[in-house]
Amino acid sequence: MRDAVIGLIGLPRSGTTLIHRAMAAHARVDGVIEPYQTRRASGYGITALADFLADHNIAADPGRALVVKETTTRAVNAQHLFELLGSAQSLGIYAGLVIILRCPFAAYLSQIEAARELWTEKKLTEQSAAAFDAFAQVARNGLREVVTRARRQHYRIISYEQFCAAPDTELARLMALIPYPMQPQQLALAPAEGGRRGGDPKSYQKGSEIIRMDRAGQVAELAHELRGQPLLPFFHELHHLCLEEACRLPDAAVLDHLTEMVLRRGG
Amino acid sequence: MGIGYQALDRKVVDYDMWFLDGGRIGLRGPRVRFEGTDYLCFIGAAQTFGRFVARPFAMQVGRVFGRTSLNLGFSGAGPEFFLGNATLMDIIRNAAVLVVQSMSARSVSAGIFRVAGNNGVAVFLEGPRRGQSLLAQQAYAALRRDYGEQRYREQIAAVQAQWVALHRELLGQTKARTYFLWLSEKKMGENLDLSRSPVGAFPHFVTREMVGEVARLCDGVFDATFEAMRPQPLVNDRTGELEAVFAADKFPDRPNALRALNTYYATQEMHDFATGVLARGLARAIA
Repeated sequence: MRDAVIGLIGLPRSGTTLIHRAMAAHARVDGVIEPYQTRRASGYGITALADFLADHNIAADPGRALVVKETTTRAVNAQHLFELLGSAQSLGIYAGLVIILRCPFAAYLSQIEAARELWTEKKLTEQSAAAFDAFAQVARNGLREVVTRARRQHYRIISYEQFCAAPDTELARLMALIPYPMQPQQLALAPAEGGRRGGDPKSYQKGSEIIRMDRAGQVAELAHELRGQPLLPFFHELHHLCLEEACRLPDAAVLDHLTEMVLRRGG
Repeated sequence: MGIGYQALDRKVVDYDMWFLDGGRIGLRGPRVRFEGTDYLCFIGAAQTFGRFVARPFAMQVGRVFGRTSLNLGFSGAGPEFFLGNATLMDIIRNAAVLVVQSMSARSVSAGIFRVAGNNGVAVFLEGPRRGQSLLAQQAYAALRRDYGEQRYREQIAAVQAQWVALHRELLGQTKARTYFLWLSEKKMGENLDLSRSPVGAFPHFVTREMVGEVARLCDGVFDATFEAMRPQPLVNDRTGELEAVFAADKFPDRPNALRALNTYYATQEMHDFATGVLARGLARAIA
């Protein structure tokens, strides 16, 4: 029986791949990146843990943890991830959740860049009111799934910005959820032997460096351009929550605020 | 200073551990932000950490006064554990208010024992068991059995004297307003019955006179004796079912009837009681 199954979930372009790489670099962690998003075309949706492990050629070893990362690009990704965690719990295996937040304006800008430069699927390649509205709706819908089910397991909330500012203490905090002590190679983002790759190519382009791109100027300009957009206040509030609350308040208080935001601005 | 309790107890309580010093020092959560000197600091052992409780007194007192509260409770800790850690001593030195929980004198290096880990393990320095390390209670039982009653009594006197000396050293390094908290199921002086256990009851080997010596260096002593502590069923906080935290593979000597029962660590009732004692006692100092 596995020590733990941990789900990582965040908005697209929120540093989920980076944080997954760091966690999966532990010698006792097996990582799977975006199982449901990657195989969406075939309708992949295996959520029974035993079948999921077999499907990914991962043994049901005791003394090892499984960390599965997904994004809220599609709400069903989050639904499947929660079902997988529920399956682990039903088997008596400890399940935990890491919710990754990032300034949503920065995530949106990163999404546009990635769509242009990295992805074969050319969606949201240009900044526009329509593109912003589409991205913001996906964000809100995905977060609704997250806040609805997050409390079914123990959870941690981390902002990408705080992770980049203090990767050692933040990673130790996330690893304590499994709970394994952090290992030195994790901060070098060195994959464990036989480690799997996947997710954001940009994360791998940066190699072993944990660098936060400073987008403050771009974010201010973007927020100005988007004045009048109905979901702009939601983004402003989420921006404040990520940068001011996620690293300062207890996770329970942050999740409650996030829940209230999502429900209030439910559309 | 690791994640031992989180690993054992996580299905009952999520301690939400957070870290200092590049990830080397793990503290009981939830995480707090602290800067300057405007914070309350609580030092102690598993009782301060709040093993098996969701709301340890350190957290509750912080909320009562609306102040940042740092829980520096570590499994098995004694005063030398804190004195030996520069990061923790910086926090202790800079606190506005420091509350020192009554820690065991068994967690002190002196005489025949050097303590290890967070101070909860004793290493024999001489005699037939030289070099062996045992949990403190087992070590004192072995000492009594294998080295004789006189050596055992001399050892207790040695750690008692060192306990006082180490508290003097620790308290001498802080300018905080400092308070000593007696936290026990037993009244002072009633924790010293060595007929049933080689270490007596918690705080092991600590006498009224020792507390009196430390009290001279403090701004006050709070007595949170809670004689009504009842065994606590350990319950999975997600399923609501009993959880055998003390599993047979890890705790082979523990009776099966006690695998899902806490009969030792301060329960939530005791933490709530201690919170009341501290809130009343600290009101003037913090105001």
